[in-house]
Amino acid sequence: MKIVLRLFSVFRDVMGFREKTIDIPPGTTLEALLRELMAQYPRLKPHEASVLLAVNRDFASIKTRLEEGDEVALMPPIGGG
Amino acid sequence: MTIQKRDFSVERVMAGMIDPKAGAVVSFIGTVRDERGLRAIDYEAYDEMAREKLDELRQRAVKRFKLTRAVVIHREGRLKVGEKVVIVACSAPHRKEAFKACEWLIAEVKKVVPIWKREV
Repeated sequence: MKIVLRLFSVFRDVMGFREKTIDIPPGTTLEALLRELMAQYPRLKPHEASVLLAVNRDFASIKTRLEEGDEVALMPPIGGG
Repeated sequence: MTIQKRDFSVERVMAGMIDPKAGAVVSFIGTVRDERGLRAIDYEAYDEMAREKLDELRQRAVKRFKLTRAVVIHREGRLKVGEKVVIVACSAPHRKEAFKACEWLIAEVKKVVPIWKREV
Protein backbone atom coordinates (compact mmCIF):
# COMPACT_ATOMS: atom_id res chain seq x y z
CA MET A 1 0.00 0.00 0.00
CA LYS A 2 1.08 3.57 -0.58
CA ILE A 3 1.60 6.24 2.05
CA VAL A 4 2.98 9.76 1.86
CA LEU A 5 6.02 10.45 4.00
CA ARG A 6 6.64 14.08 4.99
CA LEU A 7 9.84 15.20 6.68
CA PHE A 8 10.46 18.33 8.66
CA SER A 9 13.50 20.23 9.88
CA VAL A 10 16.40 17.93 10.78
CA PHE A 11 14.67 14.86 9.30
CA ARG A 12 14.70 16.49 5.87
CA ASP A 13 18.45 17.11 6.24
CA VAL A 14 19.12 13.56 7.38
CA MET A 15 17.03 11.80 4.72
CA GLY A 16 17.49 14.30 1.90
CA PHE A 17 13.90 14.84 0.77
CA ARG A 18 10.82 16.76 1.79
CA GLU A 19 8.04 14.45 0.71
CA LYS A 20 7.81 11.06 -0.93
CA THR A 21 5.16 8.46 -1.68
CA ILE A 22 6.42 5.08 -0.54
CA ASP A 23 5.15 1.53 -0.79
CA ILE A 24 4.87 -0.45 2.44
CA PRO A 25 3.27 -3.81 3.30
CA PRO A 26 -0.38 -3.61 4.41
CA GLY A 27 -0.78 -3.44 8.18
CA THR A 28 2.61 -1.84 8.79
CA THR A 29 2.83 0.00 12.11
CA LEU A 30 4.62 3.29 12.63
CA GLU A 31 7.16 1.36 14.68
CA ALA A 32 7.92 -1.00 11.79
CA LEU A 33 8.08 1.87 9.34
CA LEU A 34 10.54 3.71 11.55
CA ARG A 35 12.68 0.58 11.89
CA GLU A 36 12.71 0.17 8.12
CA LEU A 37 13.62 3.82 7.58
CA MET A 38 16.46 3.56 10.10
CA ALA A 39 17.84 0.58 8.22
CA GLN A 40 17.75 2.62 5.00
CA TYR A 41 18.97 5.85 6.58
CA PRO A 42 21.40 5.02 9.43
CA ARG A 43 21.77 8.74 10.18
CA LEU A 44 18.22 8.63 11.57
CA LYS A 45 19.33 6.54 14.52
CA PRO A 46 20.50 9.42 16.79
CA HIS A 47 17.06 11.03 16.39
CA GLU A 48 15.09 7.91 17.28
CA ALA A 49 14.42 8.91 20.88
CA SER A 50 13.21 12.41 20.06
CA VAL A 51 11.18 11.89 16.88
CA LEU A 52 7.58 13.08 16.92
CA LEU A 53 5.22 11.19 14.65
CA ALA A 54 1.99 12.33 13.09
CA VAL A 55 -0.52 10.45 10.97
CA ASN A 56 -2.94 12.52 8.94
CA ARG A 57 -1.97 15.69 10.79
CA ASP A 58 -2.47 14.34 14.27
CA PHE A 59 0.16 13.11 16.75
CA ALA A 60 0.29 9.34 16.69
CA SER A 61 1.79 6.64 18.88
CA ILE A 62 4.37 4.25 17.57
CA LYS A 63 1.81 1.42 17.75
CA THR A 64 -0.46 3.06 15.15
CA ARG A 65 -1.31 0.76 12.25
CA LEU A 66 -1.03 2.58 8.95
CA GLU A 67 -3.60 2.56 6.18
CA GLU A 68 -3.50 3.17 2.46
CA GLY A 69 -3.12 6.87 1.64
CA ASP A 70 -2.02 7.93 5.14
CA GLU A 71 0.17 10.98 5.48
CA VAL A 72 2.98 10.21 7.90
CA ALA A 73 5.19 13.01 9.25
CA LEU A 74 8.54 12.74 11.02
CA MET A 75 9.21 15.80 13.14
CA PRO A 76 11.75 16.90 15.74
CA PRO A 77 10.55 18.24 19.12
CA ILE A 78 8.36 21.30 18.67
CA GLY A 79 9.90 24.70 19.21
CA GLY A 80 7.91 27.61 17.88
CA GLY A 81 7.09 30.95 19.52
CA MET B 1 -5.65 31.19 13.31
CA THR B 2 -2.92 31.54 10.76
CA ILE B 3 0.59 30.58 9.85
CA GLN B 4 1.95 33.17 7.46
CA LYS B 5 5.18 34.53 6.02
CA ARG B 6 4.18 38.18 5.97
CA ASP B 7 4.23 40.48 8.97
CA PHE B 8 1.00 41.20 10.82
CA SER B 9 -0.40 44.53 11.96
CA VAL B 10 -0.83 44.53 15.74
CA GLU B 11 -3.30 47.38 15.41
CA ARG B 12 -5.45 45.46 12.97
CA VAL B 13 -5.38 42.29 15.09
CA MET B 14 -6.34 44.24 18.20
CA ALA B 15 -9.12 46.09 16.41
CA GLY B 16 -10.59 42.69 15.58
CA MET B 17 -10.63 41.73 19.26
CA ILE B 18 -13.03 44.43 20.37
CA ASP B 19 -16.29 42.83 21.40
CA PRO B 20 -19.26 44.44 23.15
CA LYS B 21 -19.38 41.53 25.62
CA ALA B 22 -15.69 41.89 26.51
CA GLY B 23 -14.26 44.20 29.12
CA ALA B 24 -10.65 43.12 28.60
CA VAL B 25 -8.31 42.37 25.72
CA VAL B 26 -4.90 40.88 26.51
CA SER B 27 -2.22 40.22 23.94
CA PHE B 28 1.22 38.64 23.81
CA ILE B 29 3.72 39.34 21.04
CA GLY B 30 6.80 37.15 20.67
CA THR B 31 9.81 38.65 18.87
CA VAL B 32 13.28 37.45 17.80
CA ARG B 33 15.66 38.23 20.66
CA ASP B 34 19.25 39.40 20.10
CA GLU B 35 21.45 36.67 21.59
CA ARG B 36 25.09 35.71 21.10
CA GLY B 37 25.44 37.43 17.75
CA LEU B 38 22.31 35.84 16.34
CA ARG B 39 21.14 37.52 13.13
CA ALA B 40 17.91 35.74 12.34
CA ILE B 41 15.83 32.65 12.95
CA ASP B 42 14.37 30.42 10.26
CA TYR B 43 10.90 29.25 11.23
CA GLU B 44 9.44 26.20 9.56
CA ALA B 45 5.92 24.87 10.05
CA TYR B 46 3.96 21.80 9.08
CA ASP B 47 1.39 24.23 7.74
CA GLU B 48 -1.73 22.08 7.50
CA MET B 49 -1.26 20.43 10.88
CA ALA B 50 -0.21 23.69 12.54
CA ARG B 51 -3.42 25.37 11.36
CA GLU B 52 -5.54 22.51 12.65
CA LYS B 53 -3.74 22.53 16.02
CA LEU B 54 -4.10 26.31 16.32
CA ASP B 55 -7.78 26.02 15.63
CA GLU B 56 -8.20 23.28 18.25
CA LEU B 57 -6.31 25.38 20.80
CA ARG B 58 -8.43 28.42 20.07
CA GLN B 59 -11.62 26.44 20.61
CA ARG B 60 -10.28 24.94 23.83
CA ALA B 61 -9.20 28.36 25.12
CA VAL B 62 -12.57 29.94 24.34
CA LYS B 63 -14.38 27.17 26.20
CA ARG B 64 -11.99 26.88 29.14
CA PHE B 65 -11.65 30.61 29.90
CA LYS B 66 -15.06 31.70 28.55
CA LEU B 67 -13.48 34.07 26.06
CA THR B 68 -15.42 36.24 23.70
CA ARG B 69 -12.64 36.09 21.08
CA ALA B 70 -9.19 34.54 20.64
CA VAL B 71 -6.62 34.71 17.88
CA VAL B 72 -3.12 33.38 17.19
CA ILE B 73 -0.96 34.33 14.22
CA HIS B 74 2.46 32.68 13.88
CA ARG B 75 4.93 33.61 11.18
CA GLU B 76 7.26 31.32 9.23
CA GLY B 77 10.33 31.90 7.10
CA ARG B 78 13.42 33.93 8.00
CA LEU B 79 12.83 36.49 10.74
CA LYS B 80 15.50 38.96 11.79
CA VAL B 81 16.32 40.12 15.33
CA GLY B 82 13.52 42.39 16.54
CA GLU B 83 10.93 41.07 14.12
CA LYS B 84 7.56 39.87 15.34
CA VAL B 85 7.12 36.09 15.37
CA VAL B 86 3.78 35.43 17.02
CA ILE B 87 0.76 37.25 18.39
CA VAL B 88 -1.78 35.78 20.78
CA ALA B 89 -4.79 37.89 21.71
CA CYS B 90 -7.74 37.04 23.92
CA SER B 91 -10.80 39.04 24.87
CA ALA B 92 -13.01 38.18 27.82
CA PRO B 93 -15.64 39.83 29.98
CA HIS B 94 -13.02 40.33 32.74
CA ARG B 95 -9.24 40.81 32.71
CA LYS B 96 -8.35 37.82 34.89
CA GLU B 97 -9.60 35.30 32.33
CA ALA B 98 -8.06 37.25 29.45
CA PHE B 99 -4.61 37.24 31.09
CA LYS B 100 -4.82 33.57 32.05
CA ALA B 101 -6.03 32.52 28.62
CA CYS B 102 -3.31 34.45 26.83
CA GLU B 103 -0.57 32.80 28.90
CA TRP B 104 -2.15 29.35 28.51
CA LEU B 105 -2.47 29.76 24.75
CA ILE B 106 1.13 30.77 24.07
CA ALA B 107 2.37 27.93 26.30
CA GLU B 108 0.21 25.41 24.41
CA VAL B 109 1.33 26.81 21.04
CA LYS B 110 4.92 26.11 22.04
CA LYS B 111 4.00 22.57 23.08
CA VAL B 112 1.68 21.23 20.39
CA VAL B 113 1.83 23.34 17.23
CA PRO B 114 4.36 21.83 14.80
CA ILE B 115 6.72 24.74 14.24
CA TRP B 116 10.50 24.60 14.44
CA LYS B 117 13.20 27.22 14.51
CA ARG B 118 16.83 27.29 13.51
CA GLU B 119 19.27 30.03 14.33
CA VAL B 120 21.00 31.72 11.42
